[in-house]
Amino acid sequence: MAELTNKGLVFGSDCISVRLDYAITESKTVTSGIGELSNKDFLELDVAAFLLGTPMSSKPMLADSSHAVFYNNHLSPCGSLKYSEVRIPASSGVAGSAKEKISANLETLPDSVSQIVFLAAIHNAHARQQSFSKFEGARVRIYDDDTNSEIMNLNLEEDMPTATGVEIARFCREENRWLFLPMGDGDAVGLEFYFCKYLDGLER
Amino acid sequence: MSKEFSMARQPVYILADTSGSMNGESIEAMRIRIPGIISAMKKSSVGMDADSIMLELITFNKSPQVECRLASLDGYPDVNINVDANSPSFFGEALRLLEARFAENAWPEDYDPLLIILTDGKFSDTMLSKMMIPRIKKLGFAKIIAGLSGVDTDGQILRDLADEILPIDRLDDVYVRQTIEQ
Repeated sequence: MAELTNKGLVFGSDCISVRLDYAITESKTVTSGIGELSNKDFLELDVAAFLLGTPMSSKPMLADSSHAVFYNNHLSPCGSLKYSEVRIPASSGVAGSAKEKISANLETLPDSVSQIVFLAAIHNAHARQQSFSKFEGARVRIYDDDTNSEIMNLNLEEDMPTATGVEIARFCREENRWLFLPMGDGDAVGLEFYFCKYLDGLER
Repeated sequence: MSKEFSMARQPVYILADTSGSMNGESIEAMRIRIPGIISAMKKSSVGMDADSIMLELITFNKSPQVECRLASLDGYPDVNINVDANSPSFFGEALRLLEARFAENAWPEDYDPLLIILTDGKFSDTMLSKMMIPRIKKLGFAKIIAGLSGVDTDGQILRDLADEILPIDRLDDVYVRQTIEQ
């Protein structure tokens, strides 16, 4: 349950989640006379959650890539973050849908984790020449699962049409509670940028 | 700055949404409306001390900003309202700043302040916005007015907060003067 303090919203031992919903209107591949091609119109979004620690340096960083939960890594080492996906492909002119979710149990996160940052980005945005403006109705939401209450939502198409990646929000550990910090920082980047930022400390 | 004032002040706060969803017609409507509101308030102050109406302008997108601290309408600076095209609207954060500014600006002899919110109603920090509503209502605004731009707004947060919601272009001379003079 959230409490409003002078710093903002603070959560205790809640389970929270980031949820991504968007429509799939095209198939991933099209067939031309010379074979299958990757479809530039295929819309694909990825959501991710990074568990950050603050070791010797003061800058929060990923301990290693296993602490990044996304489509290629469904479970954090501590088991507190879990990724799931439900995808219904488009067919016969009927739009499909994609739902991705990462659940986080704030209570079971180890002491070494000082922050969780939630991210979303377009898959292969540069190659497909896409920005969030292409994703009609795509929404990413942060939920308090214990109370099924929405904490935050972003309409990617309307709120950041020219961006391709976004730092949605972060939770920062404050003693035995978690301060929620909405961010909404969109940029023309992909997930690989955020990996560089939080693994190597390199930024564009 | 000394906080001694020789007359009762009528504070007015404007909260102006400059998030990405306001890009286009909504921000243009707001750019016209804000100087229009200031002009209407100046006309309504005729017969009163012109210094008595004080305006504070706060813009908000993913972070709120005091564009102009509480100041007399006489010589009120021209303010450039610009949208952050890739920014959500954190209305709850704006209300937190408003609450703090209200406390800083409060003066016992003041009339109850007026709050005008200019927005399309599409807010991203849902939970904080809802939790701030009772706190803002407790501050004691004489009236909370929302001037709404655009369509397809969910609107529940504004319906719970504002005493009156109307299309932004209805915040015209007549309406503003009637509201101030009440």
